[in-house]
Amino acid sequence: MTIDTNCHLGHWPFRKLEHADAEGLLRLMDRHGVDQAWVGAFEGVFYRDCGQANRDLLAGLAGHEDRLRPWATINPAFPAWESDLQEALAAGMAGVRLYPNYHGYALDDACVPELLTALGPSGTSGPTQPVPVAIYHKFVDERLHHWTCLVPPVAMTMKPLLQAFPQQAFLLCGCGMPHAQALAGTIRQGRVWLDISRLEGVEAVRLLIETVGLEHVVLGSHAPYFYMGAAHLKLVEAGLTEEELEAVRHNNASRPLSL
Amino acid sequence: MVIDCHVHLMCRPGETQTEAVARTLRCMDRLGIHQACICLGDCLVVQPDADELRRQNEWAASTVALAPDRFIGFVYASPNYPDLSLELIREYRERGFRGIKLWVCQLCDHAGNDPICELAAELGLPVLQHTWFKATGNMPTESEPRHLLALARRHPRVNFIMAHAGGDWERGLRLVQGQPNIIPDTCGNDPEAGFTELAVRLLGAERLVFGSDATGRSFASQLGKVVGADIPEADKRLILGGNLLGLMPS
Repeated sequence: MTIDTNCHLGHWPFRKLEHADAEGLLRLMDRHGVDQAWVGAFEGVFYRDCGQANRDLLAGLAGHEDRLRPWATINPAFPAWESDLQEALAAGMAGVRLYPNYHGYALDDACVPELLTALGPSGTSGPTQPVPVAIYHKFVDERLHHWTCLVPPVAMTMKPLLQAFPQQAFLLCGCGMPHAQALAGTIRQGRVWLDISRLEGVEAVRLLIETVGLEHVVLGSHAPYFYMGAAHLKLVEAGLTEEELEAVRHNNASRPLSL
Repeated sequence: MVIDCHVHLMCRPGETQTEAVARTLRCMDRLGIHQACICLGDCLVVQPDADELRRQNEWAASTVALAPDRFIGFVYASPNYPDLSLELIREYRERGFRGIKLWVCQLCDHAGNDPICELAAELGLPVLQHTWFKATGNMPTESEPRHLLALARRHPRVNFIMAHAGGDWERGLRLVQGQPNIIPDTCGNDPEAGFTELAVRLLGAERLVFGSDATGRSFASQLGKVVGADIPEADKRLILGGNLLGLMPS
């Protein structure tokens, strides 16, 4: 069982991407032995109306819900985001994705704890455990941004959030080794997982495991924006044991969703 | 045969050169990379003086000496020191190096690169030139693809490997597609899907070479651009090694 925690479907405005519809992503998944992908909507990064992006995502993967698990885009800095969240959770979306740099807020803005409160036991999500949240540090290398869309990386001020919401599951996407090293102590103590999509350096996944602990590392490819196979080759490059592979490909990802 | 045209051997904190070589070879073995071209030294120096140029080339030479069947040396030259560069190129060519590396000390259309390129033509050595077009702004002496285009037009007998395909690869590939002696490499930016397919469509599979920019970059992320591309297997073999073999003297 292999889970890719970081995929998107839809239309990226600055480049035509192949494999960006459900059938295309499923072909990629079959090629790389991926059983399940967690998907968000490219449109959610840019639309003001995240609810529409979420509805389009759900429509686009209809019939493939067993392999494509939808995550809702929520912009907590935009009016009436609560209704987008309620609609997404009612539709069974698995988690919430945040793109603070594209949506114009910072992690230490007041809107973030408001959202996390809504995701917790006393909030919108009901009495069980909080709905998991994915935070995108970088979607595109800032050196490669389109000239009309220069977006800085997100300042990963995670510590206050982890202290205030210790039960909240966070998936950090698009972080490099410097952030992993800077956040290592906090990550090890929290319900935090890092994907490997933007990890670089020779044998980097091995170094990441040594830095944050095996149980905090998950497979995420950032496909179809990135070649899906790049993330899988990083696992080969790191020479992981079978036990480590099982943890990174599946077991760790199963925890934030309680699969 | 998979050959990586673009590797810098750097040590992690506390790691010896021998240990870094062992780690690098271990990863190459896991990924099926047979050989790697080594250039620059153990750290990145934007404006190396004469002593630093010599020291960095010796670092590359000592790296190659630790695994001569796996590593190929490229001489680090500088348009700021053309006479020294010619001396270094001749010396290291005699010691088996098979290419020249130019980095960021000057824009590469600088006149100081002309004698270097003339010697490259004489010896049949490819020139690996750093190029980037950064939305955030280049360093003042950091070449964009347009600077390499100017240099390549002045030296049509030299094959130039355009490192990083210009970073902004959609811009870089289009800019150089009409200049046959510019051969982009695959490395130094994220594994953005579509790169390899576009390069093959615009330039042909014969004008692209695999490079990783390891050890700062992952071999894997850059190899994934070629292995995962929707192109014929024969094209992948050219990109992964066949083309580079044809560019370097034996």
